[in-house]
This record gives sequence, structure tokens and C-alpha cells, in this order.
Amino acid sequence: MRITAGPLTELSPLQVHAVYKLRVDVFVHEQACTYAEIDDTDALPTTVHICAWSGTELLGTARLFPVGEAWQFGRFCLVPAARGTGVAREIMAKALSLSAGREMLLDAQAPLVPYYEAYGFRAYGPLFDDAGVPHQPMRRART
Amino acid sequence: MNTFFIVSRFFDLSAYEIHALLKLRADVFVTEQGWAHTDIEDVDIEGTSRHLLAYDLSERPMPFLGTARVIDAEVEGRRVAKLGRICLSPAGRGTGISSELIEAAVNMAWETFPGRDIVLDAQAPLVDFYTRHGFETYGEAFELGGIRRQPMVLAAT
Repeated sequence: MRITAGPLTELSPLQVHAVYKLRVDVFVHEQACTYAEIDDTDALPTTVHICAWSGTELLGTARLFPVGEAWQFGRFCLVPAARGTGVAREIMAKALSLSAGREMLLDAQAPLVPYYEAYGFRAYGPLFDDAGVPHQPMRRART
Repeated sequence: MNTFFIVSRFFDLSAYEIHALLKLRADVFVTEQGWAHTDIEDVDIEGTSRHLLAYDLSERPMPFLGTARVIDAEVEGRRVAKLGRICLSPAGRGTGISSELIEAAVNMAWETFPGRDIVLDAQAPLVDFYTRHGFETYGEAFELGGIRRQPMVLAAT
């Protein structure tokens, strides 16, 4: 498995297709949510798309982008075949190393709060509803 | 407005063009039309598929006006050119370019699949629009994603 991290323009056309397709398949179709999955943040030069590849096949992805002094983490998803295989841990490890020295923020889907706690994130503020899915803001202190 | 059309295979587009194309489709067919479907498909990257991208050359950066896609398909045992994912961006709406867009899409289909009939599944309110551009209804209307759709064909001449 190979992990890449960089702005959208460092991905090839077929890689952009794979990343956006996986995200729409998971967050729109699988989770039955008609929100604006692909947004302007994706194309900003400061946004980092983290991808896990097996050869040319995408296994999982996540993105990081700056919000003030912090890094916001999100759009974290895996292809069904890669779930429970340790790929998620590799993607998260890359995100944590890229964020070294900065606070990290994320909005956890509510059932995943304990998952992110294991990586040092702590809940703050109230649960909120994002397009019908309850989310918990979490942050991880600067390391 | 000075409309400019690009016809391209997916893998010849830039990352920004792909972003604009897939974002517009998701904004329209997922969010606006409220249909949680797998809008981005493997057929998008097939070497035989072509994507139409419309831009307004009169402004910088060039506003992205709309898109359409043609793919290799089969209807009742014969090969056809299938148009779909036809949509206008907010910047492209109310500008009168919808006719230019469908004409460019038809030309793309003729050039990509010479001699084939062109088919599409028209969203019901657009049947009259496609009729004005030479399409005829065939077969039964059906519902997909909460929207009534009518198969239409433009016969090869």
C-alpha cells in the first residue's frame, strides 16, 4: 500500500475520478444523504488530499485543510473491501504527521466519537445536525 | 457571452476541469434534485466516452456554464450513442445557451459514434425541449430518483 498526500492538482485525472467517486459512493449513496459532497475547498491549493493506493486502485481517502491556525480533517472514507484492514490507521497516521505542531479539528459522525478519541481527539461543543447526520465537533491538541 | 465548447475524453481533462465537471453534476443531480445516487461512474473514464464542457470566454476566470456526456450503449440489440448528465451551472441558466448546449452535445455524439442513433432519457418537463431539437419519444416512461423520465431518440440520418 502506498500513501500520497497533496493538492488536487497533484492527482491525475483518473485519480481525481477515483477519489470523488469513492466519496460520492460512500457519503451520498451509501449514507443516503443528498448534500454538496464535492465543494470548492477540494480545489484550493492549500487543501491536502490523503489517499491510500494499492497499485492504481484507491483504497481510501481523507482531506486536510487549514482553518485559521488549525487543520480541519474530513471526508474520511474507505472502499468496502479495505474496511477493517488497517488502511484507515495508515491514512490517519499520515494526517497526524502532516498536522504536527498544529491543532487538528474534525466533525465526527456521532457513532465514531470513540474511534477518534483513540487518536487523541476530544469532543467539544454540542452535537449538530449536518444534512440529517448527527456530528460531534472534536479537536486534538497541538503536539 | 461568448460560449466555447470543449469535447474531451475524461483522462485528457485537467484536475480543475474534472473538479468543476463532477462538482456541477453532484450539485445538480444529487443536491438540487435530491437523489442520493452514485453519480460518478466507471463509464465516465471509458476511452469511448466523451464529455462536453461549456465555458463563457468573455470573462476571466472563464465561468463554467454546463456539461453533457455521451457513452457507448445498446438499445434493443443495436449500438447507440447515449447522451446524459446534461446540465447547466447557475452561471449558465437563463442565458439562452441550453439550445447551443444540446446542439453541441448532439454533434459530439455524431462525431464520437458516426451512424448511430442518439438516445437519452429526458426528465419529463424537458420532453418538449428535446422534441424541438429533433428527438422523438419511444418506449415507456419510467421513474428514477423520484423523477419521471421518457426515453427519446434522434435517428441517424
